[in-house]
Amino acid sequence: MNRIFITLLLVVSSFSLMGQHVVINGFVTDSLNGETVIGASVYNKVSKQGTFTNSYGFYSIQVPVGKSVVTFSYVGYRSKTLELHLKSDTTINIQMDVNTLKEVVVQARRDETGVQGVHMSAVTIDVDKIKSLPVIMGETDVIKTLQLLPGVKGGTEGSSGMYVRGGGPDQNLFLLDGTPLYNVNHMLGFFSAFDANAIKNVTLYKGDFPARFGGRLSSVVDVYLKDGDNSKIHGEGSIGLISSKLFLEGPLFNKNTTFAVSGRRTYLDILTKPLIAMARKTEPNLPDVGCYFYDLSAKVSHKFSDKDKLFFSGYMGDDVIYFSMPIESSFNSKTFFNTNFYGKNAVSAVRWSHIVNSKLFVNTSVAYTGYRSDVRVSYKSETNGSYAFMPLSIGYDNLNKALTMKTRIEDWSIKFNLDYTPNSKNRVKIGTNLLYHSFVPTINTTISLGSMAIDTTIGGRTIIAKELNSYIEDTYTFNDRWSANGGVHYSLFNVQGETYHSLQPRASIRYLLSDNFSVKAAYSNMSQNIHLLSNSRVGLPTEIWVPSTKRIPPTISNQYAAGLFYNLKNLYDISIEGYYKTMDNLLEYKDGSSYFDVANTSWEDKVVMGKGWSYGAELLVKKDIGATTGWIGYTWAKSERLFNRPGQELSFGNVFPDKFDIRHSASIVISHKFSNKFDVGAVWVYSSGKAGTLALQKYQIEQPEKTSEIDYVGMRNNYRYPDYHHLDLSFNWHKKIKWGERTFSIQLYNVYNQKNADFVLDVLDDNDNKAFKKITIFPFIPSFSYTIKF
Amino acid sequence: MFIKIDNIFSSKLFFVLLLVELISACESDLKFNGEQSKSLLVISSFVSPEDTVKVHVSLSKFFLSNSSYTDVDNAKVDLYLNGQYAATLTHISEGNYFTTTKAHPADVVRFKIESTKYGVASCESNVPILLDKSSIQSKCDNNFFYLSIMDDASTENYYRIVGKQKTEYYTYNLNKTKKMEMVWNMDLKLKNSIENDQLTQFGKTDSYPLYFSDKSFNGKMVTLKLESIGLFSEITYDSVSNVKSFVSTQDTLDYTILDSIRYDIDIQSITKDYYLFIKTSKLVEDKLYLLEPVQVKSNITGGIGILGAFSSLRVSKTWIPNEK
Repeated sequence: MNRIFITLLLVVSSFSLMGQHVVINGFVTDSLNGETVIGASVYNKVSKQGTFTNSYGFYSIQVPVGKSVVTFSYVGYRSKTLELHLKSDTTINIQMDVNTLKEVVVQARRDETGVQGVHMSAVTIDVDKIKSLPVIMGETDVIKTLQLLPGVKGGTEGSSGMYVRGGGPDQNLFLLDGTPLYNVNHMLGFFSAFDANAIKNVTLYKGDFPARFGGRLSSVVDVYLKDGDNSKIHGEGSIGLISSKLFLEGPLFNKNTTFAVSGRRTYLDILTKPLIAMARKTEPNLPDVGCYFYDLSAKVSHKFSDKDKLFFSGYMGDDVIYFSMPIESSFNSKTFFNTNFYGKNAVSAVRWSHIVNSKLFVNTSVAYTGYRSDVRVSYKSETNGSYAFMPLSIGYDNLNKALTMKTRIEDWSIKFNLDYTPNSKNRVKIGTNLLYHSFVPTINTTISLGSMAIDTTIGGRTIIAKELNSYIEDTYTFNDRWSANGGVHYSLFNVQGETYHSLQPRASIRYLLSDNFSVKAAYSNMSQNIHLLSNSRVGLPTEIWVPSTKRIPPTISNQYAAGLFYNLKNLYDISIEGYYKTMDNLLEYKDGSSYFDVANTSWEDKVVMGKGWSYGAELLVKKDIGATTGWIGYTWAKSERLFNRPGQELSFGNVFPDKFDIRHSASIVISHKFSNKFDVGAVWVYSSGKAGTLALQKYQIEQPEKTSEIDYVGMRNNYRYPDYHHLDLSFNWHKKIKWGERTFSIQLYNVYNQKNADFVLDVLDDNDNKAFKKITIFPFIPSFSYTIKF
Repeated sequence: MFIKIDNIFSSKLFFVLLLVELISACESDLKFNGEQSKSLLVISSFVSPEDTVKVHVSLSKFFLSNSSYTDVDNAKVDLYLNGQYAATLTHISEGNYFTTTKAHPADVVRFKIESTKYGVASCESNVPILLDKSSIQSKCDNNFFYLSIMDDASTENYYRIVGKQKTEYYTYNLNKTKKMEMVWNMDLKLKNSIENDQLTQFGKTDSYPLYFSDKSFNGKMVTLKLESIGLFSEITYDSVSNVKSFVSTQDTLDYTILDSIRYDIDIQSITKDYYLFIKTSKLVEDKLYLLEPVQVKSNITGGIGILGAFSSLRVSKTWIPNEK
């Protein structure tokens, strides 16, 4: 491996010997708070060549000796142009000024993924935009904003599930400062784990994956936390309908050390407790139910010198859901049926970034990420006001048990990446990543609490897996018109004595038809070694992460994409992309299997493997400049599955639509700034119906011992839900106050109270007639929040 | 009201309901906008060499229909054995058709069902070969029946066990001595490293007899321990006039002496289709809503339902108390 690495370095270094050039390098930062700017454009008008800052705000560009006119630009900031006469390598750190007019608030990386850039199928969302859009109950949500982009679908309404270009919810790699986060949901998936206050930058890749990314088939969500203001301590606090949060950032001890800390907690449980207690006075059998979550993210950065920086970033979040229902009462005691869910999420990483020389930037990190969930079902007896856990016996055989179910995944990783700019035509990235996975897919413990206690533990076997990922990619500029990015990602996954190798080529190419019109094409091969087993796909705590094993090989995909990119009057970015994606070794539960199926079978016996494919076209028109900004997106897509391997058939081995095979979807996202004191956000989303499985016929079978009534399911996902749509509005009033600014926001979710069908079911009505019903989770919901920046 | 753990916990909307409690979800009527699929011919037949051939023909109904099921009484049902026409079944009543012709082990049974109104359906199945008696060992005591089956490694085998425990007592009271016989259904109590499709951690179900495949013990001997599941299937007395409920009879008893316990165990070799039908239809019956949708096995072309076939071997044993 080392030999290959050195050879590659020598090859790309040889380019630098050609011609008389010097190198400019440095960091691009925000002039107000010192935050590094990710993805800023650095362009030399003389040589007509450019580059972009990396994830640490670092850039390196080779320019001819003599005169250069270099422009630094990023949306939301005033561009800076420097006229330089260079004879030797130079370090120039740029501080960019925020555009105080705040005219531009959202931006796909126009240069890198827009008309001029070589990449496609990637979008960066500005955090301010995320905060300004209307959301359910005032809780700003990164993932819900990403769901508004073409090619991305949410799961059940209001949930933070993501289905990108026909892929499943486990096919998205969520990176928090470069470290994977396994569970990105709070409160059963209705809120995402990312607190927008703490975030600096969010980029979504849904195709054309650079070789540095791997491990998931369908998308990469690359989230970077704020480093912290290096000039003064300040923050932001807000109170909303269901949560409060606080964000603080600033220098720690001196300007070279900064911190950024963010925390939030929901208090729905506290708010509902007195209401439930009051209602129980008249209806004593009402269940006591509640849930809350809290999370905390922190980042500390220390600058040893212009060349060396150290970062520590961490995230932790807890979810608690409880449900307690009285099931039996006597004159002095009550017995409750209880269900409790605990979810814990943690990520921590230490990174060291080092500038070796003007062309070489190195980043090394050690990280931990883990997720665990515990579900406990038990009984509790309340006697004269005092509580005591007790077994239920007394003849109810099915109740005579308590149950706990646990699942866990933990990773330790070491990562080494370098950015190398050998010359003005090449930008090279090389890296390697070693991971140590520990999985406990399920531990099911059943305790019989009758006269003879029996403790039965099923599963609980820890699976250890080791993974190595290495990559090399190069962005090469042929000439003014042609540019390409190519690379390869290698993955080695060792589990249960089996080793899976995967060499994944990636390529993209761009041809400029004119300065504002280009055509691009891309190919990505991806491999995924870990999988999420999910019954209902709504982020329930019943989801478990499992690795590829001896019996379950990695999932693989191939995605082909092409598109046209056009910039109209420097105001509108218009793109149309088409894609075709194949997926193999997809995992699904067998018919009738579930997390709760705790018979003596392992999870591997509960799943089947098959393949899928999806294709579609995406249109995006967005406007980033002016008082009115936003985008219109439209997607036409199709996604199907085929599970026909012998013994692993689903839907009788025939092709069936994926649950989120949604043919048409559209979104209109608009922000309008009336003044510095008042702005409005509006989101309208529409999609044709998702697929669901209904037994459309019923029949009777005369068996030897009895007559059975049977539901007939002709095909999986044979029913189309009604079309889905809603309009959300937000109104934000800002006011300067003595020590900062306060913002009062009103958010109206589902303004016209569209009763979307989140679930359908057939029930018997009061007259014992069959009735078809829909359940709407989110009707019209108003909410508010009050935020103070200081 | 008592609610089973598994039913509560796996209820379709359980977790959603947690939120529903909090955020005012609502239920409302929905007009079914899908295609209202037509009724299908439903065929059910379970062929065994020990019995005459019977077929039941009916129609499925739309899932939102409030009407009752319709039997098909005017169909022509032809039986083919090993590719040769064997008989046309006679309609008896309520969708039932019958012929005195019997199938034999290893026969290929095929039905062709024609209805002028509902079209043509057909199905085919092999009748399993009868188990060799030498492959079965058994013993019993007053509580359990131990059954050992030597599996044939050369074929994929599927089994279904139907057991009855018949307990005979002599009851004495002031008037006369009576003999009372109680028959109990049998179920699996413990298993011996077999793939057990029926047991779950949350209790056994008695709605189906025991069934399993030889997947986990192919070619080996497996031993099952059977016991009664505590439900009477019937109670009889030596005199018809004295038939009463057990409870009311018990009140009048002076004392009872156990005479014998007889076990009648039917070991059935069943077809794979029949096995899959039992397995999948049981999943549907359980209605555990968080499960993935279940498609019940059907082997009917042009319709739905099941043609199952089995060969049955009965093993009987009687246990008599030592002190008697």
